[in-house]
Amino acid sequence: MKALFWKEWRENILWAVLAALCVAGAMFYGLRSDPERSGYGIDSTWQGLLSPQLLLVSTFGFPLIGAGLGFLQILTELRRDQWAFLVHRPITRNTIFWGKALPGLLLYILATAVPYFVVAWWASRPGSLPAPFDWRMTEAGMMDLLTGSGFYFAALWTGIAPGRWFGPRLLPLVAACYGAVLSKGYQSFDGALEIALVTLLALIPASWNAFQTFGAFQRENPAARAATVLALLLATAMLSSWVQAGWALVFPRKPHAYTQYMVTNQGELVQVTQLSSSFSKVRTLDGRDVMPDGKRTFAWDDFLSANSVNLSLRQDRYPRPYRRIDRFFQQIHGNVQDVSWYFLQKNLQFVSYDKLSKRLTGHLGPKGFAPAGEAGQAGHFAMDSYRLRYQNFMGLFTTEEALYHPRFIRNEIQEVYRPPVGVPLLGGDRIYTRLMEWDKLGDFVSATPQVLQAHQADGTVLWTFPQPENLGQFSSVAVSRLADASRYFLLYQPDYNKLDRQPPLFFELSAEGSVRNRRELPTTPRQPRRLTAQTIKNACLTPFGQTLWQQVVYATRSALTDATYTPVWNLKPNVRRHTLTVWGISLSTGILCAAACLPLLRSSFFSPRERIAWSAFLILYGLAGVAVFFLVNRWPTRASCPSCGQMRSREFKRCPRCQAEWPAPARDGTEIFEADASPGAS
Amino acid sequence: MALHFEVVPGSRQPIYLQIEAHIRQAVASGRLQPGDQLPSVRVLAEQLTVNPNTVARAYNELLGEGLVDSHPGRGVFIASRRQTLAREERERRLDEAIRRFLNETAFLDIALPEILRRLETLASEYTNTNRKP
Amino acid sequence: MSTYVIETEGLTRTFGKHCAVHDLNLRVPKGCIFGFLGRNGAGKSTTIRMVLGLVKPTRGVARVLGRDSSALQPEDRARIGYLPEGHHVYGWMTVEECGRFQASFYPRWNPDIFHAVLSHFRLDRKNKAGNLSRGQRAGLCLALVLAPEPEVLILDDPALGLDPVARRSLIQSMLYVTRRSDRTILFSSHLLSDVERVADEIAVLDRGVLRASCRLETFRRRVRQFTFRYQGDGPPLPPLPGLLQSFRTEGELSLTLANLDAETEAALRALKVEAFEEVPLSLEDAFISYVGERGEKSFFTRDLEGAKS
Repeated sequence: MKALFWKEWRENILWAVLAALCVAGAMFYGLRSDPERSGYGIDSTWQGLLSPQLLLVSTFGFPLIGAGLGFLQILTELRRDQWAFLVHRPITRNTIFWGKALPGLLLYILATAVPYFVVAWWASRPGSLPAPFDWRMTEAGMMDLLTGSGFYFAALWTGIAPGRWFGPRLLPLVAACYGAVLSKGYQSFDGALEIALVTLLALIPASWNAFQTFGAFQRENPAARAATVLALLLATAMLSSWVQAGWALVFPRKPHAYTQYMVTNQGELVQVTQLSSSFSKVRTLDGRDVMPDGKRTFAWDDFLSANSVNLSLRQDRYPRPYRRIDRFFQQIHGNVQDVSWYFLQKNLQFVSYDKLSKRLTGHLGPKGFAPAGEAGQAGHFAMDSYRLRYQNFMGLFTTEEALYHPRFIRNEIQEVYRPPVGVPLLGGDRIYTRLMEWDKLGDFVSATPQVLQAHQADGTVLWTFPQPENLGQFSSVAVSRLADASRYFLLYQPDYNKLDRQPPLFFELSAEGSVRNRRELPTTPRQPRRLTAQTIKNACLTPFGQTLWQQVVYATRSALTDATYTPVWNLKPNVRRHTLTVWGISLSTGILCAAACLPLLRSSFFSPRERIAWSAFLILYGLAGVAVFFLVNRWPTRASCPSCGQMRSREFKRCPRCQAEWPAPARDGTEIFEADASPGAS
Repeated sequence: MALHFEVVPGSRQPIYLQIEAHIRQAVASGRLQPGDQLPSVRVLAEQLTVNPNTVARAYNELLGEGLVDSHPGRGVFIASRRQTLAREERERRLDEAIRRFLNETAFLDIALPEILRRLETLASEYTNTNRKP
Repeated sequence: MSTYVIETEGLTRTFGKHCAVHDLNLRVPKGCIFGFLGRNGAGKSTTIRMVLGLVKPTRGVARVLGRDSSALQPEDRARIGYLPEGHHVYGWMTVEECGRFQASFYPRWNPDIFHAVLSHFRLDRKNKAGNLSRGQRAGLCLALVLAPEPEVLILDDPALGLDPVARRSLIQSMLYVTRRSDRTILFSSHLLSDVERVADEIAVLDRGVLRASCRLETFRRRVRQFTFRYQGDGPPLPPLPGLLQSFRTEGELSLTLANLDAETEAALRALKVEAFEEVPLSLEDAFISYVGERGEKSFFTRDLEGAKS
């Protein structure tokens, strides 16, 4: 084993070092900063380890390196007479596998983790990047390391599998893609970790299994075989999602029409239908269609709603994907030239970094500005960092206690409004006017659970409006004002997640805040769920086993986190009917698939236990299961029997139908065997 | 006792026959005298780079003919001259050799009396230098 | 317990429609130097790989040292040496490192043999394996496979690409191995002169089918060639059951036959022809007629001359 380790290490160390240098080089290049060009949208190196350039290197580079190392280790043996060098040795297959995989993994870590953490250490040092740093930012890179190692095992498996290069031999790599692609889509690190570990849990035993069953070796470990099945299932899932994505690209879905209420610049409430970001129809409440005057179509800024103040009325938590930088800090897009400002979640403060020296220069908190290192002096904002929506910070800054107006250019922050003690602040922002000066504060609104108020810049209240009693039914309120400030319009949007939906509420207020108009707006009732062709197709393609698994996971999670779990029989009648129908279609597809494979299952190729297992598998996994069923089993080659003409397996001596044996090769009298009586003369 | 010859594989004559022929020729020409020890099977096989079984076969044939003797523990020796072959067999072999000789000389266009005269001359030289009574 | 170190029973391997090895019943006795002959593509390498458990047979069973080839354990593999054709080595290792690497796997390693073969082929220990010539690489591979002193040595076309001196060294090594009577060698080769030097028994594989398996001299004895000279069209021939090839020119016919029995030979000698003689065949000639194209070849000189003018 030591000798094998040494050999693999020596053979591939140079490649690993080269890869490490490339990774480090690419990452450092991606993090190079150009102070001249800093600014929104141009230079994203402030995002450090979570910048797109760096994530590009880890997203594509790590899998490539993993697969490259795997192929390097296997394909160099390929030339040597069917891997005789590898297999004909007085060691077990297990030793052969780990003799390659252990050094390979170490080399992989050398080629990927070492340069990555070198870059991370550099980024953590003050003066490297003009932005804060948190070691948890390495979570994205670590996830890529993990999924990249899946590609290593997939390459080992692909390399040693028999068959032609295109086609089923590449499926292990597709399975590794499953882990890599899905772990990036998941918001939480834990969810992504689950996916990555499941993929590895399938790929490692499956590639071990490929080594065990290579060549004439017959014994197959059932657990490893199950892992192979799982890996191929993941691969088919990935393939099907690629096919569906390609299909959607070639045959795009019809765009959705979306209807909402908006207020025009003239102060009229209209119902607007949008179709793929253009306004297709504008209609008054009486049903009269409104045409745009002077041009062909409406544009966004024909409506006051474009510049309304949108205040959230719910205490929502915004989940942060682990791969996004705003989980740690958000960049302030101000017009500050030589300093970058960020809101740091960890500190609940604003922090500034000098773009040239790249060092922390100051803190800005509720108590004001403090130089670097005096975080306590500036104070910390009272808020739950998860409630911070992504803002561009051009307007007012809302915490649970007060409204602030930060002026980053001057290192100042001003508290503009504080509700009475014990009253939480829901939100607040500036009212848009055509000639707004960003630096000078104008009129603004604030919202508490009790009242909605409009203020002047110095804080004096212009008007107070009591919130509707059933405030919990609404998710947000949009406040807009006519250009001449004579009227205010409030539009309360209902919470669409609630089952009984409250219709939207509209108020028209005078300049002093007295209600001039109140309307409950009709909404289109929720469409009943219908069984469309799309739904049926999706139901057929979704394996019933996946649905079952999802329900199990959902129930377990809800039990563990005390969330509510609504089993299917507790849903509303029409929803329940629809869900059960979809599940029924899915299950029927599975049963049909199992039935279609029945002739093969019944053959003597399978033992009774295998028959039951495969039948259950086919019912649960439907079409994907059929694909895996054909891929995993080593079907015997068949030929037609010379005596009875039926197809029979070449692997058995006797025909199962006519019991005839395969004919022996023809003899023509020229055979020379020692046992034959020697004829005639010497 | 080193025998200096090579075998030619791939010729029409099997290797064991070539070995036999070489040994026979060495005896006939006097290079090997009765009582001389032949190399052991293994040694000769190594020298000629052939399978020892081939050498063993050649030795066995010669043993059967009485050209050599095997002394267990000591080796294989050239036998003292005694005729083990029947007269007919010896005459048959002589006729064969004569036919080979005639085949090879037929095309030289030399008259038979001349051939016979030259045969006598060379044969007596051969006897004087090589043959022992 | 079987006296055969390598045995196959009904061993068959198909690749798609093509049958590479068909119902092979091979037996290699212990202590034998066994030559495995056949044309290119006859199925020799496939057979060897199946015997070693590298390729799964379609049907049938192969056994080495009494164990099923598909279930060879590490301790069995330690007793079997395999030299694949091509003489592959890990080019970046030096000769010495190759030896140390190989030695770490085998419980029994004889460094004297290793160094003896190395010096026989004049290999420098510090040289990198990738810098060796073909013949030197063959020597290194031979040293690596001989040093563990395997009971069975399987060589797939070991002399391929070797110069005459290296070939001679190879044969000498093979003969050296079988000094002990419990060591067996199975080797495949196209160089029949070398086969003739060393083989005890041979087997001939022709298009996947075993057509001969016997001692070397038996094979030579049973393949015979005769030439007839006659006037005109020649006499009618008796039935010839073992006819391999016949070659007819004007006035002359040559027949190559296998397994000629006494009656047929008497019938041939009794034919009314001008001249009749038996032509002694070298092993190579015998082999070529044995596995070459069957049937009659005609060569009328008059036809050719007609075509020229």
